[in-house]
Amino acid sequence: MQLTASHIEDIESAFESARETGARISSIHLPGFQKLLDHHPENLTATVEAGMTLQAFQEKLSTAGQWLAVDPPNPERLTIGALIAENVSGPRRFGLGTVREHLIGMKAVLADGSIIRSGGKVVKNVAGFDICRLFVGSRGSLGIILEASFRLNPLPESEMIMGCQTQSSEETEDLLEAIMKSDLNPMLLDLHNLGTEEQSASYGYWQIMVGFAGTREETQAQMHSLNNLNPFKVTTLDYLNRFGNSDSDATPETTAVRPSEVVEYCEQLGSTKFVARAGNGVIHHHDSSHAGKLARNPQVLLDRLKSTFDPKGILAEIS
Amino acid sequence: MPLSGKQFTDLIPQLQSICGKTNVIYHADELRVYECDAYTLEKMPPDAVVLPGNTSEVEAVIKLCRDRNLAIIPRGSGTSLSGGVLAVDGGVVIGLSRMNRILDVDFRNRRALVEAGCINVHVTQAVQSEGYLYAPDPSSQFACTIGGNVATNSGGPHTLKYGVTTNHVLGMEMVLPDGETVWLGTQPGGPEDIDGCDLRGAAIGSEGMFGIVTRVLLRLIKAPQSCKTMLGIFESVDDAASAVSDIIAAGIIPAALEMMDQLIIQAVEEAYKFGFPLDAGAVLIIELDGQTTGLSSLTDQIQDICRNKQAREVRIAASKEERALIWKCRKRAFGAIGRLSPNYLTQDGVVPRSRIPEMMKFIKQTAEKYQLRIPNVFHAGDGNIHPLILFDEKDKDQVKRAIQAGHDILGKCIDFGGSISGEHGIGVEKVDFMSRQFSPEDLEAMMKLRKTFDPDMRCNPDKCFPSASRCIDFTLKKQISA
Repeated sequence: MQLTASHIEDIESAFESARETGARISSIHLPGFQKLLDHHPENLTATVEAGMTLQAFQEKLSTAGQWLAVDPPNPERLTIGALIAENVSGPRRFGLGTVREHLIGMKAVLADGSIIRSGGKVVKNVAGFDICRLFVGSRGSLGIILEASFRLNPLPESEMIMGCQTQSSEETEDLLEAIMKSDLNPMLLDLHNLGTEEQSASYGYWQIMVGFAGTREETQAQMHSLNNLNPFKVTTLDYLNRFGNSDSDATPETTAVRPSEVVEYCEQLGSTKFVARAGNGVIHHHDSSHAGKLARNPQVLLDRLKSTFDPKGILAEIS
Repeated sequence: MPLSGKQFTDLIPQLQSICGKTNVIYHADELRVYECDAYTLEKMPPDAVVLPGNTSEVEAVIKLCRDRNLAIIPRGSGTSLSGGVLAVDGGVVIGLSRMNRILDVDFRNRRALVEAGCINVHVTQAVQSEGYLYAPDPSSQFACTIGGNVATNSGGPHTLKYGVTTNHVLGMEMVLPDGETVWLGTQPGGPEDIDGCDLRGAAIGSEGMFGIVTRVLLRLIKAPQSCKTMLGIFESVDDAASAVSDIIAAGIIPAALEMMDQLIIQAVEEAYKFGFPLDAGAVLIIELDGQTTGLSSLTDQIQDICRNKQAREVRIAASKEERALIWKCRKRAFGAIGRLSPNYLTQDGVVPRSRIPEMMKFIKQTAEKYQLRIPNVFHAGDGNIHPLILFDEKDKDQVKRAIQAGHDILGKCIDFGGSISGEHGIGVEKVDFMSRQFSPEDLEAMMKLRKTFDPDMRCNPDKCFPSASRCIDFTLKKQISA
């Protein structure tokens, strides 16, 4: 069943009816929870209600020259609650990490109706167990996130995206390895076969994408060093749109491998379109025959977690 | 409960048959080494200490303790500053010091697999020739273990930019208190992402109360191309603290931003002869790192900020050796305290960074109120304070005043919207403050999480949360020692 809440009472009554009917709450909408609760630019921290979209949050933070350093797809639709619960990430995760690295505090309502806080509003904090991170990727199975506090980053003065076409898988792996082992500090390291803006109709060639962020001086210097490794051209992140708006609207498959295995895996995909986070080993593609399953958490712990946090099973299944 | 004579004589041969005769410690005089950690106000020896050599020995010891309903207490190098490995009510200490190997280093995938007893600094030493490092660098990194770092989610000076242990541990092997071994997070040889809840994240910082961590998969990072270490010399703590706020507010995130006040400067200077001006009110150690090209303009910016806050001088370390000496002074500052006082008690509360000037004033007032000396050396950029409350354990009244001063400071951290611990953990030391920072519902949820891993609550008991048995004995002991 779907939960739509304008007030905390709506959540309580949805829990009540789930307990009575035995229906699980499988989707969560919090239109009444969209406020920015605090933003302290001098501390680089902010607390926001879980129903606000990531885009709206970023817009507010940008007025102080700051941002939450994550870039998952569709920020205009993605709420803060879903960002955490679904643990979604984007291309800049290579340099900036995923949402778990930025989350410092959380308020949530548990299946028994109790409202809990974990973490806090300071950037360093080890008091108490880390329930915040337990909720990252929990997909609504342990409770409903109401608020989250984050450590923020200053918006970089400049950002530069560079692309380079490779001719063979050997060349691709050699170049990726050289970049990974170099002194460069890329924020983004992707591999795709979606062509360039000019040749968007012709797939097949692979492109290595490298992104730098920082002061203008820093990005220029890194761009220069990258070109010394191999000639790259300044480009954009437009390839991400070409992957998303492709012929099939089906949700892309995601496979995870070690970074060193990305090239080999992408080769097996043949002509299927893909975008890979080459630095992290995450490959998005449209070949369902290659749907890779992610490793799972130990079942014994999942079972115990579910039975202690949600004994009546009113929330989503746990994984 | 401490073991009776018969229980005890039964237990020792069984532990010896698992780990070998020399790896079981049970004579009272030998156990004294294990009666406390670096928090020396409380001393409680375990019934026995066992030093397993591999995961299967850990499993066997844990199963034996499970069958006999004995408490198990994991221990690394015993550098915890909060009594995190105290055997409050007896039990078997499982020391991981023999499991200290680096098992595998994979530069291409930027990972290292180590045993839990591996010393923190050994990881960076093993990978630095290839240009990599393991980022969390607690001041005790020459002694503390990776397993201990996982237990307390340790930080260090460079975590301002790079994050703490949880940001650098990909996965870990843990033997649960029922003897089952599980792997949490990224598996060795497996992809970074795993499905569902972040159980690895939930277990990091659990103060050894979820199970015994035996192997850890670490994230390695590329060492920065270059770094610049500066010393800002200020007339007063106030000026230095405002400079810290201004640096953060300017959107600069240095690799490290540390403060030492006058008392510490004097102790450190006497011990390590760096050349700190003895009359300075405070010194800031500011380190920038990254691409060589970008550093000079940031250095200029920081010098301007310091000068605007009346810095007497901003020195830049001229060589690698000078930088190393600055960090030696900082990281061994606690060691220099012996010159000032026979004993000290340290706190590691956190305040929002913008409240540091007010917090430093409060610490000064607290020192005056209790007629104690409280030098400060701390992670100013994170708002993570380390007041060192000096006392002499022979003077019972002074001990009492020192404890009270510590409590006042922690209380103020909570009032300022901060936290009672930034990196040392709660241990036995700060148990009474948990209910001031968290509601009963928050604590109940933490207890639920703990019971997921340890339904019988036998693993490192009597830490973090006040328990009935502990409250009575412990408060009594505390009063006696105070």
